[in-house]
Amino acid sequence: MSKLSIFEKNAYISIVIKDNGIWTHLAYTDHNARREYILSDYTDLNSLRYRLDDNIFTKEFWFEYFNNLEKIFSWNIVDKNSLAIFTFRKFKNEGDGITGIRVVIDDNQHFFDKIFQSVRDFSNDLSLRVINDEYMQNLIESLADRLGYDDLMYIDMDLYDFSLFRTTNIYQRDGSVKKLFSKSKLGWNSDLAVIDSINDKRFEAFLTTDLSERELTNYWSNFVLDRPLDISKEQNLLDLVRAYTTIQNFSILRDNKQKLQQFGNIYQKTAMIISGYIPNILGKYSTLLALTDGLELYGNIDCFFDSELRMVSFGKSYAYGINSTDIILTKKDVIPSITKLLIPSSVNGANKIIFAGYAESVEIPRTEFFVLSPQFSMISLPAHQEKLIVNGSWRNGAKMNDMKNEISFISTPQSCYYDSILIDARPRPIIYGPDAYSNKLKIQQWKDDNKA
Amino acid sequence: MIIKRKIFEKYEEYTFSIPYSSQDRVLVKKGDLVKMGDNILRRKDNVVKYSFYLPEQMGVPAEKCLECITCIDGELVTQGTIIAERVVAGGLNVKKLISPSDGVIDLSRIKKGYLDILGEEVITDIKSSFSGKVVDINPVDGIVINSPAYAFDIKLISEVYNLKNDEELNKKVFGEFVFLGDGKDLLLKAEDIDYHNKIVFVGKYLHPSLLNDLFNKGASFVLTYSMDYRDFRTQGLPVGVLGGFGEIFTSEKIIQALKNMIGSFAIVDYEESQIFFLNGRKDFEKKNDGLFVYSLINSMIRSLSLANYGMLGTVVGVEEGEKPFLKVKWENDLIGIISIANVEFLSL
Repeated sequence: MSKLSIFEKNAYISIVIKDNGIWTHLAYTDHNARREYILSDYTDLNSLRYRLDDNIFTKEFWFEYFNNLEKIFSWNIVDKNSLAIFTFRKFKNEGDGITGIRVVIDDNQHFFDKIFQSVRDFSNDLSLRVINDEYMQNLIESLADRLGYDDLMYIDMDLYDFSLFRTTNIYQRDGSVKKLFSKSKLGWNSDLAVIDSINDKRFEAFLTTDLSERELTNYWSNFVLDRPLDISKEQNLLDLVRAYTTIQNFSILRDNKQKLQQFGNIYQKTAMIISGYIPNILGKYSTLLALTDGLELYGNIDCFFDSELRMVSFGKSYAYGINSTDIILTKKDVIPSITKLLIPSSVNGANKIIFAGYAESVEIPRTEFFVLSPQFSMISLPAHQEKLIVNGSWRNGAKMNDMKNEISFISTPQSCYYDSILIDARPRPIIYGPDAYSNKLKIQQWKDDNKA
Repeated sequence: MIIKRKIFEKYEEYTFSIPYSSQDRVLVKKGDLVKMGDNILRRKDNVVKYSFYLPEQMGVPAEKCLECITCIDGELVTQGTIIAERVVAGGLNVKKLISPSDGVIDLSRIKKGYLDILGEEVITDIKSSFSGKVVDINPVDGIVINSPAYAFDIKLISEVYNLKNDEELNKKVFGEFVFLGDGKDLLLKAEDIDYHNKIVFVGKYLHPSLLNDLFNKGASFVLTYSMDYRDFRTQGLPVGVLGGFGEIFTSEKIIQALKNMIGSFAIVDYEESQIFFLNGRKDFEKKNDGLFVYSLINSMIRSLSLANYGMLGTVVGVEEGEKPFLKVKWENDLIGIISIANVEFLSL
């Protein structure tokens, strides 16, 4: 494909098949008119989980799929004049046609070979890619450069597979920069293995629920087999998933200490991109709690929740900027808003103010906030159209590893939008247990001031 | 976009094979079109006079049963012969299993923990309960037949834990699909009939005592809508769970749909985790209504919420939003609201 002019109108579809689901994004740009957006759709394939080894992704399937997609996006995608040969409409204008389509399939996807083959057989107009280690390395290295992070970790947490990819800049004496890439993974090969994983004695140590062992295993097994997309009203399940996530991350840390150590503490500019089924059902707060305790995180980390896999879909297009060969996208639609995660290495005492700060902008008057020990406190920043300045300082002996007392950053809509700050003011070391009731009390105390 | 799960998926061409032994006589030829009621195999079998579940009798796990057996497969034993023996109480006592009658020892189910004593030989003609084409006949694969079939997903099959290689994972269990009772009541004992070569659906909930009783009576495979996960994991017999674990709501509609399959020749496919019904009945024809949900209203759903897990309902209204909520008329005639992300769309 030839390089596009930055002012040319463009519409490009990216389809990601991952974790028994299809994420489809249609990106449209008209830089001349300063118009840019991404339309998204998700299709859960879990109901076909026993049949994915059949020839599901036939021409008929895709025809029906794109037919539906046209209605959802209000966009003409398929050329209806040539039913015998499946062709996509050439891009003409907004709402009519596309310049290209890319299908990306995760190599952890069940029946990967079968799905890959069927997509390849289906149409020659598709560009087919595989999400493997090489793809992820390329993606996070280019994103780290474009976003300006020295240390970037991509954490993908699906029920069966946990994958951590990390790229770290190593500054050489001659001023050049080397990139150090590492990956750490943990995977379960079957439903039974995931269900039985809760027999791990460590699981109990993180639980707060006081259900009987029978109820726990029955709830958990039904959850693993059905994989619902929303469990926000099911407190027991949320607790099980949080405990499961903490243990999986802790196991990864134990087996890959060298690769994961010092994350958040080497550089000022450190970030995590978090994606997958688990963060989507747990929500930001519980996901960050499980990650902080599982990976024993410290430091100052920007957290991106890529809940719709937009960074996997269009991260490279964004990172390559005007050198992109498919579509030129700016930050706004590809990069999600950020949660600033602040974890001091030392916190003393209880019920003392550990962090005090304020946020202000030309449209928002100065708003103060503070965090008490031992809270694990999520502070939602006010929605803002103008730059928002956030300043704060550690109190009562709390300090970060870099010994700096002040925290200051600017949230800029359109480019670097912070929507919340999460401050971990719990004294170290974090101790769970000895039983579910103690955990319940502790987590209640940590969550106590989950203020907005 | 929403894809619905088909409770019964129709396969126009499902290939399966019926194994036969050297004593049996095959009554069809390669290329024959088999109709319902046609004789396909004359099988020489011995009547099972007694079955013993050794883990219960001898107090050993199923995989260690062979260690305490004092006879060999096919051995003719007389009444009073010791057929299994085990030293217990630190060598102070010996537990013995004595043959209650004359018969031939059959150890074909010993991996599941069963020892059978066979009686006289009987000859039975196996009739077809399906229509299909005989594509091959050979001693290795058996009678290979191509036939239309309906597949029903099995959530979990217990034995899958113990299967170690691909050959074992390809395992298939054949038999006539039968119901125990009307599928609604919780039973602890099976009827006093022979369940050999039968795949038995026990209904809404399976209790371990019923499971053991069914295998004592020769069942090839037991299906249940639900059971306790701990029981499922600790027993060592082949069981398939269709609905879920724990005491969950059992849908009347699904039980009714399964009842349509009573008497069908069925195959439990371990690799696919599905049961295939070869139903040749013309009165059971399912319509193909596609994979995608086009209209939420009137769609059939299954609840994944813990409050009424497994209950079926029909969508009667939609409250739009970032995560739409559905107004649902449930099977018990109550109307409720549930998140669209907490249901599974179905077609029967």
